[in-house]
Parts: sequence; structure tokens; C-alpha cells
Amino acid sequence: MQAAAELTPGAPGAAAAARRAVAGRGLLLVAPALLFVVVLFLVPFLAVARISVAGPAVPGSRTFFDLSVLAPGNLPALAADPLFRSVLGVTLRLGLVTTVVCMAVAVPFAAYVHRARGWWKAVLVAAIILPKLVNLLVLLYGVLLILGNRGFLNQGLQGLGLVDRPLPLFGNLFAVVFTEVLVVLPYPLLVLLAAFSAADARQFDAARSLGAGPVRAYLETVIRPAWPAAGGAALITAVWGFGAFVGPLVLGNPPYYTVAVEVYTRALERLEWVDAAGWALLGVLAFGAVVALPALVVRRRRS
Amino acid sequence: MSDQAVPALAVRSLARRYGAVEALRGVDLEVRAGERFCLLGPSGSGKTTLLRLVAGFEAADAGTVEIAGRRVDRLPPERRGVGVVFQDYALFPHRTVAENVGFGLRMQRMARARRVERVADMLALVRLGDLADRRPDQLSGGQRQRVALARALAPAPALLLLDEPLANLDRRLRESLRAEIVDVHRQVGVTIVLVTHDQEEALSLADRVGVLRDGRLEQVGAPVEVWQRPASRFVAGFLGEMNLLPARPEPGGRAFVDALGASLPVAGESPAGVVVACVRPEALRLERDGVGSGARAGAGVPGVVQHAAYAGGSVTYRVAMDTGLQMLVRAALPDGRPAFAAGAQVAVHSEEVACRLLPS
Repeated sequence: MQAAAELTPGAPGAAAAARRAVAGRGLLLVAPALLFVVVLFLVPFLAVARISVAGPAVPGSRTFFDLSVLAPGNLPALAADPLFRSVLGVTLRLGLVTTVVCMAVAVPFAAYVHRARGWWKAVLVAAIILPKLVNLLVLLYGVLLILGNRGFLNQGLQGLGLVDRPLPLFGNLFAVVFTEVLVVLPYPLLVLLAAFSAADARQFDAARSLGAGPVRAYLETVIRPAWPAAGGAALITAVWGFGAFVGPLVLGNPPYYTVAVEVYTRALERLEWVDAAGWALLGVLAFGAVVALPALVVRRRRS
Repeated sequence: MSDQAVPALAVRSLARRYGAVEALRGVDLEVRAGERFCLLGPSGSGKTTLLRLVAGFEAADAGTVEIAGRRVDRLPPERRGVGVVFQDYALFPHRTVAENVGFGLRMQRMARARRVERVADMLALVRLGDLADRRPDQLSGGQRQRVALARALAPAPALLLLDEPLANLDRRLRESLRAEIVDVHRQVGVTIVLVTHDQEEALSLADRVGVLRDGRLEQVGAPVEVWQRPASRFVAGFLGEMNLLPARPEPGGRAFVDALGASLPVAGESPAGVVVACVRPEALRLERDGVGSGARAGAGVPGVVQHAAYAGGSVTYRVAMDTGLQMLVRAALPDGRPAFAAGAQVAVHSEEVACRLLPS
């Protein structure tokens, strides 16, 4: 298109027009995604930001906030609130622990699936994807059937005489991390599996012929080139981890309630929308900062 | 038995099948120490399979592999001491040129100082010293292949295998890298086994050529030998254009070729039974038909030019003979223009060049 325009002599505007047309078409390609981001993220986000600095609901009004008031002091006050700080800390810790556990499980498992062949590989890939087809709540009550006081695990342990009273397997950090890992694990697994599959089998052969054993050659030619993808996988996991909601609510107890749980109770149970919006806004900013930090460090080291 | 007599590579009765496909059907081959050996064959002939079995990337179903007199067919690739250069380079993309070349040395646990020195030597050998800190994606195809060559040579392998190393490069680059491989070989002296489907590459690079077909070695010999005395119709055809013409042996070491209406001297033995004569297109000559026809002895055989394939310094005519046969005739073009165009009435004459007889 551009080349054709440049071949036309005596039409200096033609090339520029052609470039504009190409750029216009590029815009057309992004349009659906852009619309999605603007309508479903940017607009609600700005609305939340505005509500967070609104006044409390006027008695008798039909809204849960008063937009005629601008109260920027809401946010510093919330940031100083010990409850908010402690919940934010719990959420960040939970997200980081979930990410570390997920990646520790996902990297070796993805390598195993990558090396599997034939029907066994198909079974493994299905095992990664199928849990995502089950409703999240059903999945979590399934976990409760396993981890509960009368769950399979405790009954089995008691039946074997290994313990005389049920182990506290739910309502604690272990249960919350376990469920979060269960919920989030498919995402890093699929990202890593795709990255491993992009490896060139010839490079593996080359490493072997240069004296590397099978494990060393695999690390060098499959795992190592997938580093950037592993970073992406960890990022996705962390974002999900910070957003943890159903896991802490169903299998945790108040000490493990996350920002998302607190936003939910404020917005939909207590109807304190201004407070809820503040929690949501500061939470998102904090997660953004935590997620952006390693990305910035990596970029600085590259340049 | 002296050291020189131990072949660098000895392969015996090597066989490999993939499901119903027999990729190798019992290959015996000896490559001499310090030799440049080319395995030549069309795709699917088993040449890459043979190379992968020697390198140890796959296990053979039967047969043995010895490198410098040592049985290696049960050893994993990392313990065979074989360097491999791949068609698509297979460089490690996240490592620099120097790190790629040093990888094998690190696997040998060579001390850092010696490693740095060796890497520098290897990069100097392939004239890439100034690109040591680049990454593979910042290099051209020819540079990448030279890095791959340096990487394979760095650990000083007993044997260097090259799998279609020039196939991804354009023609000019291919020729310069061919010369470079010869130079490097002269300096390093390592035994080279190169796999290619390009007969020109094989003939110009190799001390000896092995022609593979359907998992069997059809002929092994010096380039001149396989070119001049092909052992089979397949080798004759694969190594270049060849007219295979029915012939009758005559006493006195000659054979009468009906299609040429002429008797030609025979090189080598005459096989028993029905035979064909191998006549290279260069051994034939075209003249205008009808001009003084019958006036001279050996007036040539009439035909019509179907196509004149011009190739700069020469032209190859495809001639449809009146008998229904097709014949290839090549003429050098010292002064430029092909003498005949498609449709020209011509007479095919044969030069007094020795031909080889093969079973029909």
C-alpha cells in the first residue's frame, strides 16, 4: 500500500495519505479492545475514584454517596487507618505467597507436561483446563469437602490412627493459599507451557552434543529462554492473588480477609459506598505499585 | 595397525526405522581421519538420520558406530565428542556470541582464563572477533552459521558433523562459507562429515562423497570418481544431468548407441545383459539439420529443440528426437549467444568421449 503510493511520482501527498490510511486501519484493529478497556475499566475506575472523595449519603436520598461534596481528605484518612493497613498487608502477603507457591508448582509441572507425549499429554492439558469449567463456588465447597473437619483428609488420618482429633485444615492461611493456588494455577501453567513449547528441539540437541547432560540441556534451551514468559506468568498470578476474594471468604476467617472482601462487605452489605470506593482505589494503587516495581527494575537493568 | 589406519568414523550395518518407514537399511561406512566426507542424497534418503545416529540424538535399531576406534553407539551425545552444526544454526538466543562459543568449554569445566582465550581463538578462526558481545538475533545468517561452526569446534571434537549447513543461505553466501569451511578444516584438521542434498556442494567440498538412496549407500568415492563412473542409474542422474541411452556393447571396448547413431568408447567394465550408456550433455553437440546432410559421415541424429536453458556461460538444450527420445545437450558459450532457439531443426552429434555402461 505504502510502496504503491511512493511509486506514484508528482503526488507528494499520496504517500502521507496512504500512511494515514494504514494508521487508520491499525486503529480499527484496536478499537474493540480499546472500547472494552474504556467502557469496562477506565470509566468505572474514574467513577470509583470520584466516589471515594464524595460526601456520605444524604439521609432520604436514593444514592449511597453525595457527589456535591468534594472531600479529598477521605483518602489520607483511610491510608492512615490501622484496619486498612493491616488488611492491605494481609492481602499483599497472601498475593505474594500465592505467587511464589504457584510458580514453584507451575514451572516443574509445565516442564513435565511439555515433555509428556501422546494421550498422556492430552490428559494433562485437560487436567489443567477442566477445573476452569467448574463454577468457582462449587470448586471451593469441593475443597471444603477435602479439608473440612469431617473432610476426606481428616477422616482418613483419623481412620489410620495418625491423629486423634481433626487437624485444623481450613479457616487458616494454609487453606486460603491452597484454594488460591488451585484457582490461579491454570494461568501460569498455560503461559509457561506455551513458552516451553516454543523451544527449538535443535538447540537441545546442540547443547547435548556440546557436553550438557539432559537436565542441563533442558534448563539451557527450554527453561532459560522462557524466563520472560515466566515473569509474565508470575505477574498474572500476582494480580489474581491480590484480587483474592472467594477463597478467603469461604475457606479463611476474618484475619485472612482481603481488600476485595472488605470492599464487598462495605459496598454490598453495609452500603458504605464512599468508604468502599476508597478501599478499592487505594488497594488498586498499592497493587499497581507492587507489580510495577519488579518490571521497572528489570527494564533498568536491560538498558 | 598404525594410528592413521583407524577410521575417524566407522559405521556398520546401521539401521533405523520410523514406524513403517525404513530410514536406514544397514549402512556400512568408514570415514578416514582428517577427511572431508559428504553424504549426498535427496530428501528422505536417510542422510540426516545417519548423522543423528552418529551424534547420538537417536538410537539405532541395529548396527554399531565407532568414533576413532571407540564404540559409542550406547553413549549419550554428550559423551561422544562430536560437534554438530545444524541447518538452522540452533544458537542459544539468550546468550551472546562468546557465551555460545564458550558453552561447550563450560560443560568441560575449563578454567575461566583458558576458556576466554579459547573462545577468542575460535572467533578469530571464523573472523567474528568483533561481534563477541552480540546476541544471535543481531547477526546475519552467514554470521550465525560461523558462530555455530566456532561453537561446535571449541571443545575440540574428534568429529564434526554438519547437517545441511548452507541450505538456508543465499547462493553467494553459500559459496563464501563453503570456502570458509575448507579453510577452517585446513587449519583445524578435524574430520568433517557434511550432509547435503546439493551435488555441487558435495563435489566441491568433499574429499570423498557417499551417495545415499532410500536408506542405502549407493556409491562411495572421490568426487571425480562418482561423477565419471557412477555405480548406478540413480547416482548418474542425481549427480547432474545425464542422458541414459540404450546401447549394445561392441568388441574393442566400444558400444553402439542407437539414439546417436554412433559408436562410443567405453570407460570401465561392461555389465552383462541389456545396458544403457551414460552420456553427459557436455559430450554432445548440436548442428543445424539439413546443412550438407548425408554429405559427411556421422551426420548426426535429427531432432527439434524444445527449450534452450541459458545459464550465462553455457546453454542446455532439451531436444526432442524424431524417435521420441528426449536428449540434453550442453554447449559452452564463449561469445555469449545460444545458437539455437526453441523450434530449431537440429542434428545431435556425439563427441568421441568415453561413456560408462550401466545395467538397464
